[in-house]
Amino acid sequence: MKAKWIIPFLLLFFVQGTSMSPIAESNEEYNLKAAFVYRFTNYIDWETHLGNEDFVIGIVGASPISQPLYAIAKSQTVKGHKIIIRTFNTPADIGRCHLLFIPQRTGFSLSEIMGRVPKGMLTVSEKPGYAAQGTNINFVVVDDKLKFEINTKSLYTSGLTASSQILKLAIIVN
Amino acid sequence: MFNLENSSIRKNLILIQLTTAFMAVLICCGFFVYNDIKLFRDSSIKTKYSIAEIVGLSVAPALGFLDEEAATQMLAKLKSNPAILNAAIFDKDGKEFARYTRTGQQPFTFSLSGNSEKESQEGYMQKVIVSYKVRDPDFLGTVMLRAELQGFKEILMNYIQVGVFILIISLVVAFIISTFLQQYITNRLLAFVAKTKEVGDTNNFSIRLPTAGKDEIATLSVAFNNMLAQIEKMQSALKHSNVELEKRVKRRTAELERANQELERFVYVASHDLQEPLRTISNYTGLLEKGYSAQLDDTANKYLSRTLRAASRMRTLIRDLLELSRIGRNAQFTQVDTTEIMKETIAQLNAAIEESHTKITYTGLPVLTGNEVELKLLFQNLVSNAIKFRKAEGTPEINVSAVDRDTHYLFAFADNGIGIEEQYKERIFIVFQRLHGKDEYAGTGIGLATCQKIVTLHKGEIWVKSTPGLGSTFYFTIAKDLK
Repeated sequence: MKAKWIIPFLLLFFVQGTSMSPIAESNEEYNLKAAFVYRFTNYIDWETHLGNEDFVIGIVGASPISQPLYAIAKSQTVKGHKIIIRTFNTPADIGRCHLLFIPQRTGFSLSEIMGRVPKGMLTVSEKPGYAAQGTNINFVVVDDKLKFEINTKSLYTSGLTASSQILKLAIIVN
Repeated sequence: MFNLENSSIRKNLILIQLTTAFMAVLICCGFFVYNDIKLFRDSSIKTKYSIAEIVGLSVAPALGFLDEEAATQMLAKLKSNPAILNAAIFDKDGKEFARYTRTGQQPFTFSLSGNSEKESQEGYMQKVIVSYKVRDPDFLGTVMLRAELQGFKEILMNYIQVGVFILIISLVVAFIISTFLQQYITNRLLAFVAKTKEVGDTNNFSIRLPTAGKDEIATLSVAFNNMLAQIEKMQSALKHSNVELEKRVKRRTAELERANQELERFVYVASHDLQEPLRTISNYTGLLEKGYSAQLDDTANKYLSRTLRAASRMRTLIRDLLELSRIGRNAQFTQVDTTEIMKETIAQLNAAIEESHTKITYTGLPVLTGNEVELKLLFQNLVSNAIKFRKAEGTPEINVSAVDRDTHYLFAFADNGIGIEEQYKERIFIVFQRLHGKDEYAGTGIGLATCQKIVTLHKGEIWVKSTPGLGSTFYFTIAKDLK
């Protein structure tokens, strides 16, 4: 199933089709997801001003996304703020951060994690149905393409605002 | 090309002014049209660029999240703008991401590298390509539009109509103005030309030009008037002196004629009257010699014979003088065969020719109009002269020839005699001019003067070419028309 949607991206990012190994597939998928995550920050308004703080992206447990996210953090900023990547091994560890990435497999239930998420923290997940269960943004694959769902209701309750431009591209979930 | 020199100044001035006006208006119109068209095009391109910018801004998220579908949908909204013919979006790697082709238009292949950031030309006045680089803030891709410059043809046609209208109006105005203004110059110039023409035609140098004003035409008129005055003065002076001269010439001619006539009459009368006493002297001296020589001693006889010889020489002298003065008096011209004259001359001078063993040849002597008696005398004088001045040794030779020279005949009497020194060539034709002593060569010194008079009577000239010791050639001409 992964292989199916990744083919057009392979064609898109490499002039000619290269190796189709699972690692490569995985790498490409998470490169793209990291890029999307970074790009989300452009279209989401955090109500509270960041002030002089760094922009913190938190990851629950280990995920292949951390590698490309570190790469982005090195070279990019979010609206002028330095990007810091933090990994929380358990939901209890979840501390202060602006965006929380919830990998497919964390070893914890979603409710356990969501119970530790405070207001003003953008949650991004990658498991079908998670948006409906309360995460703000959830990656899905539609017609072999990477898409994302936005739960506008949860976004509202989180005190975050998404721009209309991103809402146009997203699959809206309530 | 125009040949301005051949048409009138009036026309030329108008032509020059019209051409100037035409060119000025044309250049102005051209400049304004060019400027306005450029402005129109620039503003049109700006509009298209703003459209590209709007498309770029709205398509940025779709590009960022790789949503081709959304991008294509956004491009499809361009159909509300009929000027946009084609559009395309390229991602940051230059791959085509989405495209739009207006219904009824051919798909267009945009080239990212070939087109500049803002615009590119594709038929300067019809179509334009603009591109916009999407940044958010990183470079995401490029939006390219190919659009028609709508209304351009209408604007151009409008400009041409207005331009032609302005040209016609300005030409008409320029024509009217120049027609009035050039009159100031041309009227005066034409008046000037008319006056000069009048002077030329009538030769009336008392005409004067009006000299009002201070311009070049006035200066020219003053200069021309001065010239006329000078010519007038010179002409009258010339006329006056001519009249004087004519009078003087007439007076002199009359005086000369009278003097000449008197002289000739005197010579004639003198020689004629001299003959009578001379005849008496020679007759009685002859009788004295015949009847009384025996009674006279030797000395008396010697004196007597000398007296007789002198009387005889005097008779010859008087005869020659009479002849000279007679030439031209009542001369009649008839057809004369000079060959016959030559023959008669040889017959007449037979004794002298025989005695001197002279060889005479003659060729090509023509039949001409002349006075037979005088021509005979001329031939005789020249031949006898040639015999007389022969060299002491050798056979004397005389060659007579003639050449037809259109208006006259040229005769040549060539001999191999003693020749004439250069300094005497002119003098020999003057009466009584003798180069040699009476004893050396007999003669009166009238012969060549007579020859010259005869040749002059025949409207010709006589001259001599000679090398002393080798011989002389006497040339003379006889005119064909003696009237």
